[in-house]
Amino acid sequence: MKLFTKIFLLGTLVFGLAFSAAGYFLLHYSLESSLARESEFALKQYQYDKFTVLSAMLTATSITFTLEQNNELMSTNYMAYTIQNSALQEFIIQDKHPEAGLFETLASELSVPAAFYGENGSLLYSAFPEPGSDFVDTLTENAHTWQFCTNGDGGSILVGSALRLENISEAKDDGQLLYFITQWDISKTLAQQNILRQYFLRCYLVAMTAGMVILILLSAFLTRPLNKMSGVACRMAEGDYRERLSRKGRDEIGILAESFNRMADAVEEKIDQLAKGAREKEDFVANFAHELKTPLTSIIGYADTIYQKELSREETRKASWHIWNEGLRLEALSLKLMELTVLGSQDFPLTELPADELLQDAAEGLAPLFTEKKIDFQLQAEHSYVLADYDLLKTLLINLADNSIKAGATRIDLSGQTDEAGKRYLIRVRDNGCGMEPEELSRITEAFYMVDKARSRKQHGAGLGLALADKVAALHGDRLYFESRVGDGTTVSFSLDIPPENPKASGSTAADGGPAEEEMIV
Amino acid sequence: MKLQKIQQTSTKRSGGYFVNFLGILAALAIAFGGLFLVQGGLAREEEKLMAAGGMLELPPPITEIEITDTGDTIINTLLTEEELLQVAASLTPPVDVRLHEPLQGQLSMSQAVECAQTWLEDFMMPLLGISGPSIAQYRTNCYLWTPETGKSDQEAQPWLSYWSVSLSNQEIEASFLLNAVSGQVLDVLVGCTAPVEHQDQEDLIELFDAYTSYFGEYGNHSIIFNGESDFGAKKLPWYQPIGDNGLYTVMMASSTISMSRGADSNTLVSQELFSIHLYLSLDSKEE
Repeated sequence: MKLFTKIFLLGTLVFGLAFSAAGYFLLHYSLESSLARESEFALKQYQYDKFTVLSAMLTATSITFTLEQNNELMSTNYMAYTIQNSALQEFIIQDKHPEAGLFETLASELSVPAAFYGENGSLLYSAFPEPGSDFVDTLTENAHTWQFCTNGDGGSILVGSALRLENISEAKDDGQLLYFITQWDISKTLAQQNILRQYFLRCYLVAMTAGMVILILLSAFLTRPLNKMSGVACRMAEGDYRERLSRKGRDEIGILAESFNRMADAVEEKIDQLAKGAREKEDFVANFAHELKTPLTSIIGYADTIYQKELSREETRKASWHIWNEGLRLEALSLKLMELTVLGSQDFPLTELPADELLQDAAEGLAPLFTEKKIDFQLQAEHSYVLADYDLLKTLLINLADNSIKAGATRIDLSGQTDEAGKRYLIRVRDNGCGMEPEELSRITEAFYMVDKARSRKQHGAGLGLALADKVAALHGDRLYFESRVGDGTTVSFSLDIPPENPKASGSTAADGGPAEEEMIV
Repeated sequence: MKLQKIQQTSTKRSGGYFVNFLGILAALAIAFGGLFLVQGGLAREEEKLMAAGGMLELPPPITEIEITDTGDTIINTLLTEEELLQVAASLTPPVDVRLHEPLQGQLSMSQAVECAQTWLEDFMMPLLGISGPSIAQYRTNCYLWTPETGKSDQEAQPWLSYWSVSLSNQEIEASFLLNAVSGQVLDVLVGCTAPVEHQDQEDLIELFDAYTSYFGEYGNHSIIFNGESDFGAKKLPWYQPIGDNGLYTVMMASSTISMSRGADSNTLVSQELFSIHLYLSLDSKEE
């Protein structure tokens, strides 16, 4: 199921349930409270009507009264309680049954329809359809009993009780029970409730329709960025890594879009790196093949010459020297390649070593070379302990010195000092060789890259020295940094970790208390 | 292989559309089904409520209290001045009333009617010189009420309930307000078309004095004529203090003569309507 449908379904469910429940409880409460109010009114009205009936019955006995009707003096002995009511006058003239007439007249004076039952349950008079003997049976003297009734579209409340009649006249006939019931019409209230329900029905339909439209818009609004994201992801899967999402707001969607864009950046960068790596590998193989081909061509050529031709001793020696020389180049190439391979595939545990002694040792190892090449070498090293691999670091320094010599340097300065924070030990190799163009600096650590190929090959270089040195620096948690200007020489620097707990970590003092510093001049 | 994949995707998509379609149908069913549920539920509730009933328990029947015939009036007891003040205060309009059944210590309906009739026939009618029909010839209507204070019958003071009694026949129409405990007439309005023989100022003052004394002897009974000493058809109220706490009896009386044509349409028939209103009040300038 689509997210759009899920949001729509869930929203409709929540909205529908909330609206239905609210409507149900409101309408139910309204009906209940209306009926309760009506029953309260009915009981109040009943109390009033009961007083009216009781007080009327109080004087309703065998009284004699005169009635002037149509200018004729009439005399009657009927039971009556009033001489002012026109309805009673009419009843008297028509000579109706006295008791039925009395209750009919009495009922007509009440504001609500009423019914009277005798003590034996016989109906004396009723202004509405008989409520049924069940209700009459429930009536007592001690309570006002009420019951809801429905009739057609309307309804009413029947209220009743048993009245014990008393009389203040001489001819007392106290103690007789009379069942008195009134009917309180609640049709209007029920009709109002019905109107309220119809109104709710219309409101519900309008609100649900509007709510569903809003939900559709909301779902579309919420799922649009996701759809967009899905489209972008598809295009990325097809190889277009430049696609990005427009980020709006700081909500979850915005954060997701941002994360997606970051992921796309990372993927694109990774892909670029992979492409670059692949290119570099291709270049490496091509360069390697080329580097192999040159000395091999030379070796094969000279070997063929020796084999094919009758050469003088001098010529044979010269050809053999060339073969030997190219052989040396191949040997150097294979050794460097082997070192590079080893460096890439092996772990080198770094040990705590005194940096000044290490540099001193490396310098001493290079001293014959410097003497041979007439290099003015100077070493200045602060005493400190560093985390390093002795052999690798020596290889690195030899490679850097070798590179300086190949660049035609006559002076090399090697220095070592701790940084200001005391966390890194900075080693710097400065020469006064031919220097490099700035654009060359970014590529000089690539394998087989040579600034001056002719000169480099002449010196048995294969363009692997700085690549090897950079790899060693990386194994020590850093890289090589170059500063160079053509004609002004080159400065190469890198740093080593200083062990944190070592008390001699930052520029520790020698035994005499002064700063320990190695110095060597060749 | 690719074709197979496309076919699978297409089948999945058509399945997805079906599920989405079902989801939308379910949403519509929820939306409009809820309406029918509400309507059905409400109809059932209404049916249930309309089949219900109840019972309002009434206080137990009272034992009739002893009332004393003083010769021209019947009372249970005299209210104290303080009680009379509270009674007058409770009757100050506007008053929401609550009808109730007589409680223990209160007059029954027949006793209330008897008190009113005796007061009318034995106290007021002789003083005004009215000769009316006998006791049983009245149309009676009465009800017992108390000012609505939100208190239940048990919490309410029984002497702050009142019987409203109206007695009427062809010549006299009287509306009484009786204290439900004492049976004292706190307010009475009488309209009379029968001849009133004693309606001079002296006769009315005698009636007014008698009415004030009816509440007991509370100090000086000098009448305040309220700027108009002559009795006429102006209905000006007269006041008489009961005690010194701002409680007054008030009397307003008037006499109106109306003329109408007789049965033969040639002769004019005159009829006098005498009305008198006596009541208890907290204010001597209220009208």
